[in-house]
Amino acid sequence: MLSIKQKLYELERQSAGGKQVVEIEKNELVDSLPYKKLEQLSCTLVYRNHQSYVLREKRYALQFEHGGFPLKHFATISAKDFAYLAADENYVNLTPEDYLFIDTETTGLAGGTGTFIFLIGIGFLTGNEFIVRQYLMPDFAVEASVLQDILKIISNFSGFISYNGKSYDIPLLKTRLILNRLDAKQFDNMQHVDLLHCSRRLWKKFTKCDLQSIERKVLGFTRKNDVPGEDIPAIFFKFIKDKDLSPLAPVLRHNVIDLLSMVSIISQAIVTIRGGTALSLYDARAIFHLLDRVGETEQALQSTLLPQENCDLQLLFEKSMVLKRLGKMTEAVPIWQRIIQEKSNFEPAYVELAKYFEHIEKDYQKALSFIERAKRSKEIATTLFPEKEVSFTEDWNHRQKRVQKKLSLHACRT
Amino acid sequence: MEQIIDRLQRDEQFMANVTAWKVLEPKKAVYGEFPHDLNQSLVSALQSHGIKKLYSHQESAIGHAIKGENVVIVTPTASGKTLCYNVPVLNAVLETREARALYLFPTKALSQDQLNELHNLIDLMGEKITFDIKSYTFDGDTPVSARKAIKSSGHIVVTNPDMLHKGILPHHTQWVKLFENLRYIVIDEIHHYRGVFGSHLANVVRRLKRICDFYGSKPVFICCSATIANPQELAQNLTGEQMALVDNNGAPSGKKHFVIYNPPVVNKELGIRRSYIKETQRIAANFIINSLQTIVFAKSRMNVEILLTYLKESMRRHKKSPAQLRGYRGGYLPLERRQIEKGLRDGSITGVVSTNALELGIDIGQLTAAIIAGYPGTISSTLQQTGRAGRRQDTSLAIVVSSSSPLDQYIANNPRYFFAKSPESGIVDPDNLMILLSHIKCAAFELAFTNKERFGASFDGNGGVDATQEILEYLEESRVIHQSDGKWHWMAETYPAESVSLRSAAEDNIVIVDTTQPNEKVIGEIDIFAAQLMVHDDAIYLHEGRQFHVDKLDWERKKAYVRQVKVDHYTDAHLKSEIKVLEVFEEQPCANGLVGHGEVVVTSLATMYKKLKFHTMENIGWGKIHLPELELHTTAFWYSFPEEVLERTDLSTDYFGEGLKGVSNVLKNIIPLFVMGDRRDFGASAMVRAPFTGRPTIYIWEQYPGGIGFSTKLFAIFQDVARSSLQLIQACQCEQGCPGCVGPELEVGENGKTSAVKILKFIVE
Repeated sequence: MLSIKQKLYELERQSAGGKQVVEIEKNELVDSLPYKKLEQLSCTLVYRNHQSYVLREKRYALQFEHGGFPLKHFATISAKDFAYLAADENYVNLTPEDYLFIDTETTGLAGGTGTFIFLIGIGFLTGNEFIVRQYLMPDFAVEASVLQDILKIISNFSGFISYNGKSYDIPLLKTRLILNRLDAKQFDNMQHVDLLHCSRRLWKKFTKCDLQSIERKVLGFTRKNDVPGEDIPAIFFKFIKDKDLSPLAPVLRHNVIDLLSMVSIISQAIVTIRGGTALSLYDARAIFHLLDRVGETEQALQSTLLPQENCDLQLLFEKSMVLKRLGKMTEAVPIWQRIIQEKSNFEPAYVELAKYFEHIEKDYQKALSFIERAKRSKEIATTLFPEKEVSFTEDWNHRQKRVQKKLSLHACRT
Repeated sequence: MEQIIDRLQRDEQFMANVTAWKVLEPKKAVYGEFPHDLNQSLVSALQSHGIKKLYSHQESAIGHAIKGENVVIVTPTASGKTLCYNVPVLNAVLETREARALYLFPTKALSQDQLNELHNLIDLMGEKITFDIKSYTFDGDTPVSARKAIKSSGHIVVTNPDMLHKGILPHHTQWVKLFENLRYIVIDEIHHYRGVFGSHLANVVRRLKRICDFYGSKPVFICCSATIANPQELAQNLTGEQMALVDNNGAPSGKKHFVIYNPPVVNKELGIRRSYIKETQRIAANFIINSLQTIVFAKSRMNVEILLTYLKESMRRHKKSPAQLRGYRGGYLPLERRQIEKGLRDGSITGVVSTNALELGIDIGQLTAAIIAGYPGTISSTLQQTGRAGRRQDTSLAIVVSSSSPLDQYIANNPRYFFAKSPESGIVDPDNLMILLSHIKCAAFELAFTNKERFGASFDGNGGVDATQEILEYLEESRVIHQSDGKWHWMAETYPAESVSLRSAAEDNIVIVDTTQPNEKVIGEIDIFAAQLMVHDDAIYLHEGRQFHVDKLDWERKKAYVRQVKVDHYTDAHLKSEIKVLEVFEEQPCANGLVGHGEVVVTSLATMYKKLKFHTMENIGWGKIHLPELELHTTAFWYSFPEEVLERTDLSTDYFGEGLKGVSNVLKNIIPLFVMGDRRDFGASAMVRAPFTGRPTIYIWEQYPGGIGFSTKLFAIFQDVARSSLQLIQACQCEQGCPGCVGPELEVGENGKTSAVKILKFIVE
């Protein structure tokens, strides 16, 4: 009679097509404490409820530079600058000291209840220092104690700063709290500036927006000897078995860089928004929309950040649409007319002009003339680039018919 | 309708082939009262909607549920079963605003449907209640933006087992409100959860109960089932809890004609009958052309497509728009299906040809006639399918057209069996090792196991899987969990639910890509076992009545590239299997031989295919199939003969071999009569000298890794199965074997039939 285990080995081998062989290795009994290499990594052990976890703290003077900015730069930004970072006009009441940077390392990216957070890194400003603390869980059993200590610290702050924490780190942390029957409610009142979203708003068209791409393309540095994110779970699983901390050293370093880079990204973003260093046309457009979004529309329209207006018709057009929304048609119409002069196939401008003369001015002749010009420019485009799919032709015909009808009705009445 | 029935009854040619015509008389309603402790606004809402009284079964079911007793309700189609669960659930929410309920339906389509019904009921209560009762479906189609609200504020969440398994349980911390306050779990259509799917579901429910336990809730189960032999047992196996049974159906029903039609024999020598597909087409066309809404059920996807092609041709001949006839089966995309369902409800579609996909309670309104091409395999399914006609109180007609398969012939020749016998049992094996292992992994991901835990224990802490801790040790050795401080923690990067499919043995489906247009389009998907037969290189694959040539089956990447073609043939693939016994569970003498069951390995290989011409079925060519061999580790039943069987039956080795082949053919086909399975759930092989026993042996194995309990059942009832097989062969009118009994003469030889009879007599004596 086969044992259950033997059967399972057999069944799994077959369903994997006979290829996979599961290694069986006897668990070696390792001296669980103290962990190897604890002191070399300047870590200490913290004891809680007959368990222990590893704590590492690093203090940085504000002159310390990372990613092209001293940490001091972050310390000096104003409460209002957070509105730009969060693209939310309500984010104006907290200062840099009120925010806690947070970044976690986990046993997988799949998410869900089976993903374990084994390292929580936090960073915050205090006095004239920036402090980074890392809580490393050498075993599953100590999780509740670490989470309790983390909760205590979080209660001193009013906001999180993270990179993709809104959809990853914080929900996962909540999951871990619930699984340990701890209260996750205090998180709901925290403000949260997720710098991934900020990066996307500013630099999406310029680069990929994962943290390391932003470091390379925006902050201008490349990590050396960094551990690839996908290797991290395996390193932790090995540590669980042999309790040797040294392979985790690069993971701790990786986590510190993540936190410090967030600080630098804030500095870079603020400098970009406040003026001067737009990296591309797209930056300019992004900043324009960002200012508009946080309620500084007037400032956005007059922004000196805009490059020479004739360089970027798209930006000019976006600006005109804001004017339209504000009801400033007298300012918007000349912009559209100028756009089609410079680029005779800029279709959205024709659409706006046709709409304006049809619905607002009720000058059907003029509306028709724009419709005809638009169609002609489309025809030319079609002959020049037949492979490009030409959309909207139907819409134009439809619009033309409607306006012609209105024109003849109008003629009848008069 | 009455006219057409009258005309059919006077049609002598038609009546000559009718082996049974049963009229089910209308049945009057039996009423009960609203339980006294029901919320009054709910009662008055129902009463103002014309529900003055409950039917007797509704009263019983609601009574149990509000007392907090688990209950399973057995109801025929259209008997008002939804009230049985909606009333207790709404009652609970009205009394405690925080109360929550979870509804499980086997398919997404059903969820949508039930939600509409629930909304109507909630709207009825309207102003009588002070807060909104929120009910939502939660499935793969739910937009991400809506999910947050559903998780926190949905009183009633309607979902399907797959979504519960992959989307909800592994993320239970996002559903704290639901799990903390869960009062009822409704599992509808439980007869659908049998075999592999049922065994999976039972484990998903085990996981669900662990989560409820973690959040401190102890919900009551309300299950509904169509007519099967063991609803109570099945519900208890699925939920792991004691259940009360309610089967006092009080709903009225209309007059119903139930006809069994056996196509005439066209070649007596070979026992060939007129094609049941063509007969179905002829009968169905008569209804559809006369604009009577008709549903045609076919047993396979392929038959759906063939019937659709034929019937569209006849509609064109009669100047009817073929657009009024649609196909419906798995593999069509959801949007397409919703359109068809709607078309049936609003009458813009006159006919639909479907697989059993429409057997479930999807609302397609009341149809007038149901034509079933080939016995669906179980009494329970047949009742479900015929129930599609005449859900209202008026006269309806259902016709089962027998195919030449042995099971169909048995039913056609023994209609009493069909009308007298209670339907089949729903069998599940929640402890199938492969299935159990998959779900213990998923469960470990969801919540750490304690080192005393027994997976699957009831809410009272009874029962549960003995081997739980041993399986956890195995998982630790495989490095996916880690023991620490008395608990087993998940310790892998993977998300185990992702790789566990509840519905088939295969983990990966093959996606079918249409390359006819420059923009490639996915038109459907198919599991790997079916893919072996249907989308091998150069197969003709049929979809929505259109033919596609398979240009390339990319087995590694799980994709089949097809191109639309118009040809006059289709393809039929041949499968070769071998069997090896690994372990004997039980073996005992049975009549003159030995019966046994145990673990086996079956290897199967698609070797070649035939090209068959439409209509004439003429063989016009063949080709080889080059695909890897699939290996199946499963359980099997066997019967082995004593050495002296040849002398005692007075058969030569050759004749005995032919007879044995015939017997295994009959057995494989008739077994579904005794267990609620499908012919495709079984494989059979007969060996004159089996390597394992050294004797002549017949093996019947289960087509699912690890098996799901059919073999054990066969071991117990083999004598009955053999006796019915003998009856079937003896009643068959063919001379030397036909597809309706032992198989065609070409396959079993000219003495196959007489030898098979001798062998079966030997077994049952």
